[in-house]
Amino acid sequence: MVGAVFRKELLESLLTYRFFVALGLFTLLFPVSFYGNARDLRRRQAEYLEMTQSWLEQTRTALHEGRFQVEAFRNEAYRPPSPLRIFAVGLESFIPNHIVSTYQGLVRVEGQPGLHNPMATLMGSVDLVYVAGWVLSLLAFVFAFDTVAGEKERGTLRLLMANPLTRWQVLVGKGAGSAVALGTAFVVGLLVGGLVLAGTHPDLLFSRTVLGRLALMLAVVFVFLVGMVFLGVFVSTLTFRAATAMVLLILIWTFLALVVPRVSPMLAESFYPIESPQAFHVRQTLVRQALEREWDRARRDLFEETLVRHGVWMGQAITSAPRTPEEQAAFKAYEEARNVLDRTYARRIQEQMDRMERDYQNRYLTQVRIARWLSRISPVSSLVYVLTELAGTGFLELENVRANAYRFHEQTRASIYDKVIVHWFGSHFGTAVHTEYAPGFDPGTAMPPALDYRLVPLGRVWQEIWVDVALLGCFMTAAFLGALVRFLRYDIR
Amino acid sequence: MAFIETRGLTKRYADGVVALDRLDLRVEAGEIYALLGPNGAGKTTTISLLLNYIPPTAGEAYVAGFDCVRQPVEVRRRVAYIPENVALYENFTAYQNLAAFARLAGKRPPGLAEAATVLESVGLPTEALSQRVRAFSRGMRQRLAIAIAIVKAAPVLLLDEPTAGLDPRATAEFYDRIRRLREEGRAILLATHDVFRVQRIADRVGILRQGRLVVELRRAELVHADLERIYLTVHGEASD
Repeated sequence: MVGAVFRKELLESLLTYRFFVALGLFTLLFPVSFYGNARDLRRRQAEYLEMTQSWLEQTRTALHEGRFQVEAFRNEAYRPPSPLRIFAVGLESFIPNHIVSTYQGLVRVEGQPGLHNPMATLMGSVDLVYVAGWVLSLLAFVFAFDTVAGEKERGTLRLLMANPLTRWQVLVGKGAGSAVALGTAFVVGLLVGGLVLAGTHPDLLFSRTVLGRLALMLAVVFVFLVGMVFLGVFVSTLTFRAATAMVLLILIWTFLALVVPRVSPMLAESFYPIESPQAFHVRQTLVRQALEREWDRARRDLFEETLVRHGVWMGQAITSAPRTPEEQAAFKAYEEARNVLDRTYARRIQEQMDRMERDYQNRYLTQVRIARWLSRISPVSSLVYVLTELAGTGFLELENVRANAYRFHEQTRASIYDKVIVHWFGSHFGTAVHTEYAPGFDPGTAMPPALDYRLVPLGRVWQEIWVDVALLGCFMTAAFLGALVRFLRYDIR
Repeated sequence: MAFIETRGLTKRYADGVVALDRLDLRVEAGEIYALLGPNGAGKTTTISLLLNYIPPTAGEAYVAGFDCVRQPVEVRRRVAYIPENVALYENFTAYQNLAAFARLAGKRPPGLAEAATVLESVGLPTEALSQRVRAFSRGMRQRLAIAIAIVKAAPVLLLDEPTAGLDPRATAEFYDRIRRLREEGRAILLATHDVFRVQRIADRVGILRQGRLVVELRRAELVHADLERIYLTVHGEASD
């Protein structure tokens, strides 16, 4: 009997103007977004290849021309754009794409690919996340607002309920019929978009990773769709007038889709304020400068203690070679102590910077975590988190790019930095460097490793998104049960 | 066999209003029982209780032997209902409405030829099959509602002011069809305040006043009785 209600509801939905509006919207939005995002991805891929190639050329030339200086060497790499950004642009414009590794142990991820068109930043991107999170959720309400209140208002509910149906059968049939009608419009639009993508950029679509993750994304969108439809049905059971249900649903949609996702970061900033990245970098620079001044004083003291005591005056230290054996011994002791001092301070500064960076990152991530939890009041937020994480353009990718950077640095260390020993000579006023290579290492032929960028594995993605998937499941169940409880007590007369 | 039976059926709302007070009723197969009464007398409440749209406060109600409260699905399987304002699915054609309601009733949807025959039997042209109901007049909707009831092949018909708003010709045609359904052996409960029509077609008449069945007349009594006077007397007493 659920099937009879389902067929009736489906046919009723398919015959209304709203189905054709939904069909038109999806058929317009999907091809436009897939095509536009695919072109954008293609451009980014080309830029990525060009930048990577250019860096390799520069490095190769420098090595072959004998201009290799490990102390000044930077191995660089670029993060390739996620192939799934076609469907979920997410934080792609925010994720650093330039990785730098240096002999001193500095690993930096910097640069943001940004959007070439500022309008896209201003107005937001059109992708599966937008279409599902905002357009589909609104249309779910448009399809569901009159499922109960509308039938009550028109008088068909009395006639419908005069048939051998239980109320739960009617409710399930109605929800399923509306969801499938809307899903049909969505899938048709998606297929048209898929055809456009397959026709113009087949290589971007037909890969195991893309199709596999896209299937998971669509499965989650389906759960979201059913949840939103039943939320619409629930609100429809709260009133006897379809217009009242629609107004209520528009208010709910505004709250869930527009207010919660935007207000959550603001609330998180109020509850857990942190300084801006610029302010942090200023503070970090001040700390670094203070440590460098201390380092400077320590060098002076060392110089005084080891050389001036032996009658070497400052200018002589860099203009003359040691003359007496005592002076030679003093110079040698100074150089050794200086090397230790420099290493100690370099490490100390690096550790302090790393500690500050970590601390700031932790506080930053805590604030983001608070914002995310607050925003999870809305299923739209959960959907966004799931889709972007599956697409490799979510918060996890911010961690992933750093993990790739550290792996890249370790590979460079193993193949370059560890093969080179640098001896530092000189005084406070100048330095000389003597480089020693490990047996078998030839800077003329050695090539620094290239970055083998790895997507976040699905297992790790699941660890990140299971909360949101569970919340979406709970939301769907709660919306259905709420609608059922209300409908069991609904006045059919 | 009584297809509709109520025993002490009572409905009292939370605000204390008694919509139906200890109604005892029996409607046999092949019988038209007319419930007469002004608005608020309890006619629609009786039908709502039989369809289990609302639970009774006291008493029992049975349709074709099934308890209306404990076995509402079985009851509705055996009941066809035509309300005062027949509201059908406006975007559906007549055929789509027939097919949808047949499925909802657990029946096989009629084929086009069968549907055309049913429509003709209620006075609707075959072309109406493919026309959307939104273009139908009130009379056409009432006829389509009878067609839906015929397709459902339910032994019990509940009619709630079915001719309200119909012109005299359409009303006469409607009652002709109801008579035919009675002749087929259906038990028909007709809630109305159309005293004159009732006198001609009903086998029994019950007059409700403030939820209580105060007068019941059989066919033989109806032939000679001045039903209008009786009704007005009851109604007048109610107004006092």
